[in-house]
Amino acid sequence: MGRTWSSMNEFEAFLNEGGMVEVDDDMPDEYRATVFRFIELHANSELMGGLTERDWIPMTPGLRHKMTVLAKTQDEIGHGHLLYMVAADLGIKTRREMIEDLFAGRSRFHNVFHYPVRTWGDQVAICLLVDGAAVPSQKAVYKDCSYGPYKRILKRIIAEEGFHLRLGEERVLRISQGTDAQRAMFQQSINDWWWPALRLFGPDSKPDDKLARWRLKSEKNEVMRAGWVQKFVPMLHSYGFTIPDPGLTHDPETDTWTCGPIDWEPLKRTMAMDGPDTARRIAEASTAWETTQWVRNALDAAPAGVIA
Amino acid sequence: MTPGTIEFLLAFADDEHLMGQQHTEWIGIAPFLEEDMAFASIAQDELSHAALLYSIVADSGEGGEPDDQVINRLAFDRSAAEYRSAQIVEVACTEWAHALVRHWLYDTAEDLRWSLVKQSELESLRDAAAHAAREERFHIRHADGLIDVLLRTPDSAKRLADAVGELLPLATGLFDPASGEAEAIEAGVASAPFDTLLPEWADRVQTRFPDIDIGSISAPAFTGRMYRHDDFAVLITRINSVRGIDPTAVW
Amino acid sequence: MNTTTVDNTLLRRALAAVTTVDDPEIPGVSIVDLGLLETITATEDGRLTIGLIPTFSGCPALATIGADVKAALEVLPEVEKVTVEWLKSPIWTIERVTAKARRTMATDLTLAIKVDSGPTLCPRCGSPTVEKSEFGPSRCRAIHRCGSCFEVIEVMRDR
Repeated sequence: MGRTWSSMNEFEAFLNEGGMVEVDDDMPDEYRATVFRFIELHANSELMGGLTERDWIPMTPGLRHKMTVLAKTQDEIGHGHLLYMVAADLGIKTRREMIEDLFAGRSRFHNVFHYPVRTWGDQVAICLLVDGAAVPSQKAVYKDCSYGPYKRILKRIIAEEGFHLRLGEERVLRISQGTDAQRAMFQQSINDWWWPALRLFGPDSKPDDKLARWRLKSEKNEVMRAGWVQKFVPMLHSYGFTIPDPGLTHDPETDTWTCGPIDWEPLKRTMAMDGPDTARRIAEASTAWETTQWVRNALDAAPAGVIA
Repeated sequence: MTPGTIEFLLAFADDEHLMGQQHTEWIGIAPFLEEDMAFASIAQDELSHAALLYSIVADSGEGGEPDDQVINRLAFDRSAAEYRSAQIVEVACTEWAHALVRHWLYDTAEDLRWSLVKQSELESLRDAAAHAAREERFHIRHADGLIDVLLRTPDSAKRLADAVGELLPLATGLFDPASGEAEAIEAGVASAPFDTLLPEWADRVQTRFPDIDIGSISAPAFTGRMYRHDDFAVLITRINSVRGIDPTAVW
Repeated sequence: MNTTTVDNTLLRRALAAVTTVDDPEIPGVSIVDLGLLETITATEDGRLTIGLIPTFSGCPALATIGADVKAALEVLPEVEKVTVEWLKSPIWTIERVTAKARRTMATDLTLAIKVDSGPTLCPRCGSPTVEKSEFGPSRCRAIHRCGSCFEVIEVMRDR
């Protein structure tokens, strides 16, 4: 057993001084539960992100292109796997319990994976707008993260997500220089994905944010969101695409783009597991999980350590 | 490169391509996360072998590294009658037992197949064989690890046995030579006909599934790989569904 | 192409430039230290050919690495043209990863290396690890867990 703290005050003082919590530390239950929920949400989102993309791998338009697309999905699922291990180590739920909760609709995942992916353009828009939101969010968690095992894995995840984002940017560039059909498809995808991706950052942070106090987050939602708008509006404009935000404003003096009023209702619906594609997505994952139950049963019956 | 050698290489490339394609269908819906990652990695290897083989074909005229569009035309734009794939890589496997058994049957045959070109007169094919050899062993080891465990439980063993029963006749079709094989051997591209290794493959199959009566595995009827499985039409439509939106587009 | 006649300061400068290119998924680790660089040849009129080898032939980062190598070299004033070739041989092995890269991977990224002799060692505490998944997030990585400090680690391997 690692370190112990006699009170929450003492523990918070430890965090304030930049202390790092490790898996064998006797951390306060509330901190343990909060870190667990945070990592579980991240793991679920990596997995659901992988499942969102997987549907399109077989249809990738290009042989070598397909290798990069499937490698990205493998990364997401691999990140999920790593994160589920780290979450399970906190002793609250096993990996299987987490996955079964996810596929039963009992636990949450990020809002963007509650939406249908209708076209290849959507797939590319996810690589740009969603990954483009995920990277700064993850960096903000990593920067000052107080939980050691999570922080160390985040560093690798961020490196890989950065690579995905770059591939996404290259795809968007090619499409922007492409045919009318390609450009029209991608404009529709921007229209459909702009707001869900923007809402991924969540509403403005509250001043008494527990996640900030415990160093699980080092940047305010509104700051990250503003940075995202500032990055993607000029990029997409320069490619000749439009942004589906009639309230979007530009300050010529500072060359700053600011989004219009944000409707948070869709975010609330996804948090309540009632997004546009939530039910279908969960049902599909859960059916696939059930049809392979026999494999897990056989492995469970085998002597431990036979297989990873 | 003679038309026969091209035919021979295309048959190999088509098998690798469609096998990799079929594996991609399981990414994300395999029984557990480790298998999602395994099917992704194995699909990636098979698709990369296909790309190497198509690029050797594409290279036959002008020289220089062929670009993606040239490879894509070979991989996607031929008519059904022009493909030279075996039916085992065309059939849809919607049960995971079938996907796993096909993975084992295919990789075991593929391992033998690469051994026939490891001393090829074609340097690029020789190099591809060296890459593939190290990857195939790893694939087979992976499938073996799972099959070992699944054969111990009656329910899962029965599912595997059913899959072997259904897939074996199609898998034997891998040894149905492409019509250019003799020419390829004549040119030193391959060292021997693939079906000379059929007995060894049959031995491996029987050793792998000792309790399954597979009967005697005999050489498939020669078809020159001219006939597609019923599932091919759906498969190729799915593969080309995005490309078909705009044939002139580069993605 | 005859490299011996070329002023070897160009080759040295080219090597230095290629060394600045990091693996896109392993920031801080140069592709040269990963053992991807096989040959550099130059002509007197400043045409460079860089021969690289992939870790695995299906690696999704090849185009990105090739573009980065080109960009790093094209800024050199004496360089006329850069060609990047992905060589089919030799085959990349884990032995090609330098000690420097291994240290950076271990300390910065908790990334271990799978060697043939002996167990894989935890980058944090040096204890033997246990394989949890032979396939990891990438083709070239497995997932292990340290038997002593329980760290979840990724292990780079060559098969």
